[in-house]
Amino acid sequence: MRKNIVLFGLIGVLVSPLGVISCKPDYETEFEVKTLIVPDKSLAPVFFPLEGGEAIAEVETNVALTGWSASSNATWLSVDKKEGKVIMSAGSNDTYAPRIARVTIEYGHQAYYINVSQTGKIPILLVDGERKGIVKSVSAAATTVSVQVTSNIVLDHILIPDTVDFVHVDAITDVEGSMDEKTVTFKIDQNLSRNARYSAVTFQSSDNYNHTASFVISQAGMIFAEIPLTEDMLSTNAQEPREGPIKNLIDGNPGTYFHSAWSYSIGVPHFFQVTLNDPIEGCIFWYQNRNASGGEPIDVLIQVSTDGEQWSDLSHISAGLPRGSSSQYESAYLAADSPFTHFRFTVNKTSSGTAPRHFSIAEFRIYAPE
Amino acid sequence: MKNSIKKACYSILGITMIACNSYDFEQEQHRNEVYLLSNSNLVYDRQIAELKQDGDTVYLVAGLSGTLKADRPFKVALMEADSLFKAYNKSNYDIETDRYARLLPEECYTIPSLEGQIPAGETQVKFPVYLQNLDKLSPDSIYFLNYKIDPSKTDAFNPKKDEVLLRIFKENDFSTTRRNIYYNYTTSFVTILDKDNPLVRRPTSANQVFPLGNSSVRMLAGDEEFGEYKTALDRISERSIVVTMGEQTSKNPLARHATIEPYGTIDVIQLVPFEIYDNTFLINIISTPDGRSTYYKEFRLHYKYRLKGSDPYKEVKAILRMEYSPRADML
Repeated sequence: MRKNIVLFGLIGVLVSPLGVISCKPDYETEFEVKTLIVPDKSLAPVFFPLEGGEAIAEVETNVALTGWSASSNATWLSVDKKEGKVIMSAGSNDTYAPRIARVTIEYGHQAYYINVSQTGKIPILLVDGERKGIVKSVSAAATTVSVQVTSNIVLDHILIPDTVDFVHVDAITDVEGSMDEKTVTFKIDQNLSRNARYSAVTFQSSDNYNHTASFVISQAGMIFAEIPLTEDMLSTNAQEPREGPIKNLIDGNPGTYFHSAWSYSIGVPHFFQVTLNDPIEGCIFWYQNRNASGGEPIDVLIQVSTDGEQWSDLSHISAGLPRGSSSQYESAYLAADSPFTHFRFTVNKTSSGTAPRHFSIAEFRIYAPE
Repeated sequence: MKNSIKKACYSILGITMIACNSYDFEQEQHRNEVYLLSNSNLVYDRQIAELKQDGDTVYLVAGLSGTLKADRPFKVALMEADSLFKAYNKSNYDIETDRYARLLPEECYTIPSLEGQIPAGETQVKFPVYLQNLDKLSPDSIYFLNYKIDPSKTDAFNPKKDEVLLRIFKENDFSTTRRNIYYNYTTSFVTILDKDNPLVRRPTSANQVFPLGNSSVRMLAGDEEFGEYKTALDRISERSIVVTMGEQTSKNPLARHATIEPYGTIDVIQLVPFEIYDNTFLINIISTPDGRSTYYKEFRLHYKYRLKGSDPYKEVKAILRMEYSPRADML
């Protein structure tokens, strides 16, 4: 019995270590964790001055130097990987614009990015000494405007809005004795309306498109004076004898009117005309329809003459004429090729029919440039 | 009695021996047969060709079916066909012949060999198709290669999978024909340059972008629309522009210069850069303070256009943006 106890005891002693050994894990649990951290302060954007320089980003890692990478996406910025840090180097920026780059520090799928920028040379672009705010005022007549542009960058774009058709670049000339100054001259067309008009002109450079300079051209409108008309200056080929004498056109009373012939017929379109005392080169005319509907001109031929015999067409207006009673119309400026002393207003069509057809008008005026 | 028992035992033993006769299990296994890889419509449309300068390669794939791998090589030979191609057009478009798919022009591909073999123990052989000049293909058309197994030069093959339509897709860094790619207008302006009728519109719509060449795409100008795509060929031609990407800018390596040209009859003039509308294609990375970033592909364009000579120009200042993931770029 005792022998059995000893035997089983020995067996138990021998088997117990096996049990302990068998509980040991069959895999390695103590890994060496590889980490790479770029501290927050090193992730702040880096700004290089114009002349360039170096900046350092710290790297806290237990990864071997060959196990992680640092790269720049710009040729102007080089990176050098060292133990515990990345050195970013930039040369001088010879351009007139700032430039940016991105540095990537990577280990496995982990990546840190650092934004880097460098200032450029300071561009100078001035129009008459200012970047903006200069206004060049000109009269309504065709003329030229010159501005002095000071610039240390290439001046390769002069922008005039598409909606401006009266300003044209005429010449760009160097200023003697100055490398950075040019005189830019613009042609300005004549303003043929009473209204002033404006154009912004912008100078731009491909060296730095964001650095612009601009000025404004302000052109006055034409000033017109009314030509005093008298009854003896008016005539017509179709005076209606029963109403509407032609003198009513200039009596200043919109309640009266001129009426062309309806009680008899002529074979040509009706007109009235004005004989001026002094020749003019162009004019604006204005009229007001009578205070009743039916005889409003809607298609009119304007002719001029120097002798009252030979007539030339000045304008054919077939759209935009008013139809309402007492409605008013003012023409655009009508410029003639040569001065004229006779003005004829021929009605091709009224709201009631096609010429030859009677028409009626309450008031008429004519204006010439001062 | 003992003899009878012995005879019975011998008989049972004999029957048992006969019962152990080997069974032909092979008759229950799938045979080794050559087939052409395709979907249930016999179209293989899983490959996309990149519009690279030196071309790209896609593959016609012949596989070997069977429960067991073959213990011998299988010869495979292909030959040109057109029956599937014709069936595709007829069944999909019927009388709309102007919408028919097209066979890939010969100048756009080279197949060095139409004969190969599936080695013993392997299950497929690939026939490379070298693609080139894909920029000459219309992004609005469907292109196929149609090939079938040459029965005279091929070992056992599956007659139900002996022909394939290989769909040709193309893509570049900006778009693909595999699916519709849209860029959204953001912070954009379309201004009618008419002093008598000035009008500024702020498009917020999406603009579908089509790949053309290695670095070029086609898109609609301004806020134009082409309406129903199936009937839009003429409208696309007269309302579209081509944007071609060039070198990196000196200011930002994530930006490339963009050049704007007409696609068809449209009158388009590229304008000088203006503020953020600097005629570039930009990988725009917008990062939050906690380090997360959102990635966008952006066209930043400044141009003017008109559809007719009598129309006023429309000035376009546009940012066309598409979000993407640089780790799982769909393009």
